[in-house]
Parts: sequence; C-alpha cells; structure tokens
Amino acid sequence: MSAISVKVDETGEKRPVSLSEIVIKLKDPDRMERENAALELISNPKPEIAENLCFLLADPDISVRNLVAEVLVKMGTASSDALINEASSTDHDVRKFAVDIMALVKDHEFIPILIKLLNDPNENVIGSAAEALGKVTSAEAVEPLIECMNSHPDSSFQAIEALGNIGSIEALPVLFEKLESDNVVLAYAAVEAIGRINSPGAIKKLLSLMNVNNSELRNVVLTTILKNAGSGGRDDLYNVSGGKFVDYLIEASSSDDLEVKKAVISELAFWTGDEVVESLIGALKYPDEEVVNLARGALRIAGSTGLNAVIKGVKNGPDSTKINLIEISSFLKSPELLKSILNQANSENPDIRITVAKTLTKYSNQESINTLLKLADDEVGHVRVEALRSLGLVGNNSVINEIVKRLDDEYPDVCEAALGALVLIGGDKTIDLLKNGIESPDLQKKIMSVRGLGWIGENQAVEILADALSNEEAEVRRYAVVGLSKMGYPDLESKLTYLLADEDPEVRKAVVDAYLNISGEGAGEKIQVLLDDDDMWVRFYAINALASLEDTSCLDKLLEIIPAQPPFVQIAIINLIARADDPKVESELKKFAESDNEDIQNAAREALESRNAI
Amino acid sequence: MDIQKRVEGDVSILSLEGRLDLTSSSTLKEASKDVLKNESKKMILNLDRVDFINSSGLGALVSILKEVRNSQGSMKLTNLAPYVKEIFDITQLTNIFDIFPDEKQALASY
Repeated sequence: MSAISVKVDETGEKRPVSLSEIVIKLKDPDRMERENAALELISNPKPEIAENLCFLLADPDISVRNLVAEVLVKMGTASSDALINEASSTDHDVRKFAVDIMALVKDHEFIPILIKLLNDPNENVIGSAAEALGKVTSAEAVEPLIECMNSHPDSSFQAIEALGNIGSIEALPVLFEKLESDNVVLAYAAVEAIGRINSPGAIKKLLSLMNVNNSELRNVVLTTILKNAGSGGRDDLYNVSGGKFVDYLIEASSSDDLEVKKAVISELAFWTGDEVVESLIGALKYPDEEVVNLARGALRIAGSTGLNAVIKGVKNGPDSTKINLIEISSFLKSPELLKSILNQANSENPDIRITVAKTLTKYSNQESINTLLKLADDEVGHVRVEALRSLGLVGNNSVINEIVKRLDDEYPDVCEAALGALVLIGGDKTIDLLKNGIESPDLQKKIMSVRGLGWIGENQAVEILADALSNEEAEVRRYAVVGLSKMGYPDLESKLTYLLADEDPEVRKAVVDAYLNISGEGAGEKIQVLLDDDDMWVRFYAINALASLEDTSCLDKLLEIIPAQPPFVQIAIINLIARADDPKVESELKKFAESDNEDIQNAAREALESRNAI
Repeated sequence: MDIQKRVEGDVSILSLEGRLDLTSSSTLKEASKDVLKNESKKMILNLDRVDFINSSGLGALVSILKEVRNSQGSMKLTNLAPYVKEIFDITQLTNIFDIFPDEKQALASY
C-alpha cells in the first residue's frame, strides 16, 4: 500500500505513513489512536482506501465495525464501489452491514444491487435493502419493492415505508390494499406511507377511512392527514363520505392519545364555529400543560368565531376554564365577552377576581375602570393588590382619590401597590393629594405620601419634599432626604448640613447616602462629622461610606476613636485604614492583630496581608 | 436627554443617556415613533446611562410600549441601573416590560 501521510518520529525525522499502518490503527486499544486514524482516512476519501478498509466490516469487534462504517459513510461516494463489492459478500452479516451503510451514503449507483438484494436468501438483508431503497429513493425501485412487499412478509413493513418515502403514486393501489391488512402494524404503516405520497388521490383515500369503526386507525389516518396535507379549515377540500372532516377533528379532540390530541387541537385553530370553539374550551380541562397551551393558542385564533361558546365558558365553565378564557379574552375583542368578564368580578373564587383584575389592563373603558375600583376594595388583599396595579396602568385622574385611600391599607402589599399606581399616574392632582397625605394624622399615610412624591419626581414635588425635611416625623424627614437626593435637588446639600445633627439616626444615615449621591468625592469631608455620632450604627454607616469613597483623609481621627468603638465598628475602621498610605497604619494594625477578639485579630491580619501584597 | 440609534440585523437599538423626565419624554416618544414608522418593529431601549427616571418618564415608556404592540412590534429594555430597577419594581412595570440584563441577551431573544 502507498503512503498517505507523513509522521514525525521520536528522532524528529519525517517518515511516510502507509495506509496499512493507519488501517491497523483502527483496531488500536487506545481510543484516541483509533479516532485519529479514522480522521486521517476520512480526510483522504479515495475508492482504493475504501476498498482496503472493507475487510474490517467482518471484524469480530463491533466497535471496529462501527468505526469503519462511520469512516465509509463520511467518505461519501468514494466508498460506493467498495460497498457494492461487499454487498455480494458470502457473509450475510457483511452484506447487511454494507447495505445499511449504503442507506446513509445514498448513492444512486447502489440501486441495481439493492434491488437484487430484495431477493437475498437472508431476510435481514432483504429488510435492510428495502429500507435503503427508501432512503436512496428512485422510481425504478417501486415495482421491485411492491413485489418484495408481497413475497417477503417479514420485510413488508420496510417495503411499505420505502414506498412512502419514494412518494410515487404508482404505489398507491397496493398501499390501499394494505389498508385492509389484518396486521394492524402494516395497515398503519400503509396509512403513513399514503400520507407521505400526498397526492389528491392519496388524501382522498385517507379521508374515506375517517368513517371506519376502528377509532385507533381513524386517529392514525387523521394525524397522517394533518401531518402531510397542511393546515386546513377548508371543508371543501376535505369532503369526507359520511360526515364533515371538522366533525372528526372535534371527535378526535377528546382522544386520550396525546399526540392525536395535540395534532387535532393545533388544526382546530384553523376551523370556525361554536362547536370547534367548544371542543377547544373542553381541552382547557385536560391535565397536560402542553395541551392546555395549544388550546389557548388555538382559541386566540378561532375563539372569535365561537363567541357564544366562549361567553358560556366564562359564565358556566369550571374555574380553571374561566381563568384561561379570561386571560385570553383580550385577543377576541368582544363587548359581550367583556361584559361577562366584568360579571366575574363578583365570583366567589378570589383567583378569578385576580385574573379579572389583571386582564382589565387590556381594556381602558370606564366600565373596566369602575370594576377595578370595586376590586381595589375587595375583601381579599391580593385582589386589591392586582386591581391597584392595573389601575396604575389604565387609571386617570378620576381614580386617584380611591387609590390614595389604600395608602394606609392594613396589608403592606396593598399600600405598595397603591404607591406604585400613583407613581405611574403621576400628575398635579396626585401630587396635591400626596401633599395632603403628608399632613394627615396617620403616620403610615404620611410616610407613603412622602415616598410617593419622591418616586413621582416631578418639579412640583420638590418644594413639598423640601418642606418635609423639617417635618416633625423622623420617617417623613428621612424619605424627603431620599426623594430629593434621587431627584438631584440642587439646594439639598445646604439643607443636609443641619440634618447631620438630626435627632433620628435613620435620618442621619439617609444624609450619608444623599451626600454620596450628590456630592461625589467631596462627600467624605461632610460625612466625617458623623464619626463622633452618638449612635454606633451611624458611625458604622459613615465609616463604610468613607470606605466606598476610599477616603482615608481623616486617618488621625479614625485612629483616635478606634479604641472606644464596639468590635464591629473597629473592624470597619480597620478595613478602611488598611487602604491608607501612611507608615503608622502598619504599627496600629499589628497591635490589633494581637487583639483578644478573634474577629478583630483576623481583620487586622488580613489588612496587613493585603498591604504587604500591594 | 441624548439618544443614540443603531441597527443590529432587523432590530433598532436606542441607547438613552441622561434624565428621563417630562422634558425628555417627548424626545424619546418621537424617536421611537420614527423607528416604528421608518425602520423596524423590533426595538431595544438601552437604559444603561439613564441616571434618573420619574413619573413622566415611566408614562412615556408605557405609552411607547402600547404603540409598539399596536403596530404588532415588540420592545425590550436592557441595562436598568439600580435606581431605575427600583422604580420599575415599585410600579410593577417589571411584569409589563421584557427586561434583559444586556443588549446581547435582548437580541438573542428575538
């Protein structure tokens, strides 16, 4: 054998590698060696190479046989002559293997030998040859396959499938005969083969089977038609003796065969009428999520052709059906349907009332808004939450008063939903009502009002928030700082100075955040004032803020206060001063590394390590 | 507000910079209307550099979303800064908009 590649050996010399060496490597115990040899061969797709490989098709080791088969398939038609030779081997296993590879190479040159093999003494070879002819697909093979189907019962299934794949109408008469077969596997295979041929005659024949008594066969026929004839919705094309095609679809939609059910529901989207819609609504109850989703999708398309059925479903269906129908209702755009949805706001089931509340965002007429207002007063908190969220999206000035009332709801999520709705609606009226809210005797309402004004963030809210900085309630002052800081209020910095001394630590913390937000790097100098704060948490907060700014300009102050701090504040200071570029930090950290407190010790050691690493 | 526009395949990407408030809302609405009419029904708004958004800004985004949906198009938002994310949470707009961490993931979702 000639050399097909070169290899660099241990001495660095290049030497030619012969084909026989590579072929032997296909049997190497090392998987990598075998795969490399296969790749080498695949990159040299030549007939003589394929010919020299074929003897391995008889190898006792199946992994070798499979590897050789893979190489021959990937070599494509370069392996055709070698495979044709092997198909005449005296070993029937080799013949079968060669034929199986032919089915993947799909060269028309194989047709004569494959036809010949339909009369092979070995039944397995015949079955493989029939299957391979179905893959190569040639009209020449139709007649021999029909003969094979009739004379070799064990290979009939493969022959029928092959005839379907070839798609020649010549095969239809015999396939029609097979529909009568006592062997149901062959009859179903014939149905599928006829479907693949997909000529008007084939579909007509299949449609004529729709009224057979065997419901399983009917479903195979139905799914075959749906798979091959495209989407319908056109009874004129589907004239079925004994009934309308759509009637069969409706009947099959209640089949327990999941595949049939899914195919039929998808098809029903293209048909019209109350009965179609009713059967789709029926499928909403099926305990399979995919089926329910398909039915919902089909109802979005077909639902408007059967509004009576949809309205009936919303009124009288089981709760899960009602919920599904209400959710998809906006696609159907019907005033009558909307009316029945609005009625469901009185349902005893809160899940239905929640679904109504969510769905009404798709409608912005006054009736829907009135229903949302009613639901915003519902006895169940979650219903109130959803109604308020929807009112935020579709509401207007007329609903603001009602939403404001919910700012002091007993259920915190309702308060938050009301706040969100007011922020979305915004505008002068909302701002005025929230201003009144700050003056309300109810603390909760005051707080929600000041928060709302901060989020609304309009210029008209600025003065109100600025006034709120001196409100008697600490929480109000705090949220006024937060709101103004978010809005970037230019005069805030001057007002923050006196709030640094606010009696409430939470306000002082908010001031730290505000400085970080509006003063940038200059914030450090202002925040340092809080290192002497009476509240340890404010000191802690200020130190962390300085750390986020990497501001160690107050190092001496930090070293002065550290001994008197509680451990967690000491650790925060250690983490901050570790960043200072000053030699005295080192000795201070060493002292803390010997602390009795293990956490302080660890923080100091880590700080020292990080300084050494730098 | 500064709006930079570019096109990736059949998707128009608007990158916004600055404050999204009453003043800038109309600019954004005009820009998105122009995209819908002349360029693409698929739109991404990158909010990475939006440092402030208020009630009017949210209203503008909701109104653009309605217009996009009425034109059978789709709009996605990306790169919401923490402050913007917070106001989206408060108003539950996180459930209304398609929101992605970055443009790459938003584009992949089309």
